[in-house]
Amino acid sequence: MDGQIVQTKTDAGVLRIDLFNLIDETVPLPEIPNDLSRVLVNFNRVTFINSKGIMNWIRWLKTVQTKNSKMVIELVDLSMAYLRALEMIPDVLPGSAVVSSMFYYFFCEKCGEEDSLLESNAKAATVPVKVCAKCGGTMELEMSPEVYKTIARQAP
Amino acid sequence: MNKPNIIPKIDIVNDLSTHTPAIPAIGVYTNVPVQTIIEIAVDHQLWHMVQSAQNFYEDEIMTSELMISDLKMFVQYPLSSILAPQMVSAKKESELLAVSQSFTMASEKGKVLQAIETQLWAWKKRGSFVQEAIMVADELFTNAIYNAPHVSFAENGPGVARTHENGNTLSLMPARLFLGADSSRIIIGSEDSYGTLNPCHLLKRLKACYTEGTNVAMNWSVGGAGLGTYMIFRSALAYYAGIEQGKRTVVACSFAQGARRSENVRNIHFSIDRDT
Ligand SMILES: [Zn+2]
Repeated sequence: MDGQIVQTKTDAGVLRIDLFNLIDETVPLPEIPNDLSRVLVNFNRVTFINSKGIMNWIRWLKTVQTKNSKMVIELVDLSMAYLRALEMIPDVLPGSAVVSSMFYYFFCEKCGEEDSLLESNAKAATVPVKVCAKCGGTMELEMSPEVYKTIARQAP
Repeated sequence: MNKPNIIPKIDIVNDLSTHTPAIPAIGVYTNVPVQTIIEIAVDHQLWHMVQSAQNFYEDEIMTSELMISDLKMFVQYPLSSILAPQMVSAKKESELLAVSQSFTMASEKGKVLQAIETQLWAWKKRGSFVQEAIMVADELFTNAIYNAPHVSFAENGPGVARTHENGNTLSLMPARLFLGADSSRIIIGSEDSYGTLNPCHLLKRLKACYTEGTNVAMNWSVGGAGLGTYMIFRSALAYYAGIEQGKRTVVACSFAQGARRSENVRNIHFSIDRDT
């Protein structure tokens, strides 16, 4: 599966970037015009990010911020691939960015069922508890809770 | 298989001063932070480090002993050297092997990773593990294409840029990715025909990621090899590298079946044969 990028100008001064599948050495991130007030990047459909993708992403963020430091970078629907990258490489989430939503991923140790939950980000967010739809057991959170604490600090 | 010589074991908390780099040894410890493990590996050239409080301790020690005493065996039969170090053989290797994919070009990455992913799903692995394992396979593939053929053992170079030209038009000797498992562990590994991986450089880069932060890895310009290695290392239970200098490198990572990632267990096993 190849990486894809779809750009949509939603409002005056707002650009929405939907990323699909993968972020790696084959996916060049787009040039951003200087005059935008907000760039919204959606990770909902990103399933894979490698080290080169992470480097490209961090460099892209720096370029955008250097061009226009007032431009708001909003990250939406952070997926497992992004969360895993953030767990290892903190620079994946710049301190100035806003995160409006992210997934929680769950696994049931008892029966092997997997589930996810898309939640909007809030400063006092608590990690949700999920009951297994298959066996009724309490599911385990896949990512480290620390990652969600970091994200909560950057709620809108 | 040769009976391993007695390889010294060094308690890294109490006996580190007894280690001399000229005599290969295995560092052992309990509950020592990963960063400290890497610092000791670099500063004392102790390239085998095994945590004692873990399920695979005895096997891991035997794998280190084998790598130190008979590296050819390890590079020829990495799966059985890791999963069954007491019975390394061609027969055992083929029993443990699930996927082996050869390649010479970057454009083959999709096919190679797909073969590994398909097998992981067939084993009914959880989605988060499949993603992690594919990330590791991707980094190993990338190292085999963009680093191994283009760096010399002596220089601490980052490889070549990850461009289409560099990945697809140069004629490379074949590399392969492999996947194997037993009931307790899964192994993902790579083999290249260059033998240019320098454990000193790799461990120094890993150390820098821990001590100076991953942002320093970004400054290693084109490659990102250090960052990829750090990501592999953070994901795996143990990291193995056997290098026949100038001839062949085998890198492998192990993962515990079914278990969540533990931040506390990271074994390393690096051995090099300079006379090949
Ligand atoms: Zn269940």
